[in-house]
Amino acid sequence: MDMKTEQKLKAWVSQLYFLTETEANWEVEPLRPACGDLSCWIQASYQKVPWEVFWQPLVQREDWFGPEEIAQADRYTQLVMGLEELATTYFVVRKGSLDIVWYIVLQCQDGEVWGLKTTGVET
Amino acid sequence: MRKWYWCIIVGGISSLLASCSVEPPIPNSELAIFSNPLQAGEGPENYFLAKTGYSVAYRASWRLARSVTWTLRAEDLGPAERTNQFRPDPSLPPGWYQVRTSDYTGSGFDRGHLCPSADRTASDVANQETFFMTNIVPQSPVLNRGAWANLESFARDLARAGYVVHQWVGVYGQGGEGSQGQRNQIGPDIRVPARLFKAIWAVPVGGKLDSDRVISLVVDFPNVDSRVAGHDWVRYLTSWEELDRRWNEGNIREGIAASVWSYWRGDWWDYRQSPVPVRTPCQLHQGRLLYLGPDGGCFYRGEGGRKVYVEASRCRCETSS
Repeated sequence: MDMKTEQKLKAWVSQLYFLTETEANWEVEPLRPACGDLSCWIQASYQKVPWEVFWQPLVQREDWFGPEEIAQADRYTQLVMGLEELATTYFVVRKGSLDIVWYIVLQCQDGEVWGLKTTGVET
Repeated sequence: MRKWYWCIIVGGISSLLASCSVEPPIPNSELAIFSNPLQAGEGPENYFLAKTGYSVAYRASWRLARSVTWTLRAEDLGPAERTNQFRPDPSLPPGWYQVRTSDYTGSGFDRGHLCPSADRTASDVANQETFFMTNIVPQSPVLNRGAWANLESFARDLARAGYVVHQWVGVYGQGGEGSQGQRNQIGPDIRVPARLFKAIWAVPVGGKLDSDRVISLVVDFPNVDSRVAGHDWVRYLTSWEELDRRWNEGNIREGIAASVWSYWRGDWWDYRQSPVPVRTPCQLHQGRLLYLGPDGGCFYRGEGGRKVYVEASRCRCETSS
């Protein structure tokens, strides 16, 4: 595993919150899917979320934002730019209906697969 | 009373009546009470807010809604995607604190919807409005994700089965327990309520309001992780009289027109009579329904409604949390 990639991802998501009815941090995980083309991440139990639809509410600045919200949105913007540059293939999947897990699946240029994982609650 | 306020109420009544195929026996002026049961107005301790899909009685000193009302029909359940964009409510008067989603971060309490997002999916606007922080309270995560969510789901089942489901939720008291322990307030002086109640009054579409098919119930929960763990909503069914005593503001009945009140029967509703399945892991005790009292006592209602207490463990519902 490329430690530089892992360190880079960890730095990008450090202190970055994902807000739903609760809040969660992001975790960086090396993924070893059994399939080479990542199709195992798009199984029946996973639902694919369009890339822009997932990120849009996180990167968009709103009128009511204060310094804290602006800083988070700007960091999400940098994260998305970084991921699109880092990975050759990338997508978002979610699993669950009340306690939900999201994975950002990234296949890098060296072929390694990384995941950014977060959780949330939607009642 | 401001003119816009009446426009909103009259608009709400019109849409309510349009969905009924029979003439409602309740006069319009009294149906309006369902939009505003606490008779909120312009004062900061009971301020009326009208949204597309629900109405709020807001208490500025708590930085919370006192109560929220809405009506759910099958056509309110549509394809709109939720966005999780919790945001300050711009309709609060200038100078009032606008609660932010970040005020809840790290508190150990969920951003609990009063009018749930899933009840307002017919349009993006209606769904997005449920994420105004005036519709959110600091809620015990175990309650929000367990018994409360199950009750919300039951209300949607009623709507899908052809009922017009009037709902009234409210909060009272102070002090709850989240994932990080007991708190009276979170963030900048946002009150943590001690309890949350929900009243449901479901009328068959086209049915008569006073028919036997009307479902009327009231449920009252502690906002305490350790108390609701292992229990489901059917254990928290209660009566208006009990809720009146617990709320201790003396204004549940005073706030509602007497003739409307008579339709809110709701006392100790027997969920075994439900027209849609109530999926609950809770068991009966010798063929009787069990209830949890405000202090956690487990009882059934014996002769003449007398409470007969049993071991607290009898009230546990094994697979629910």
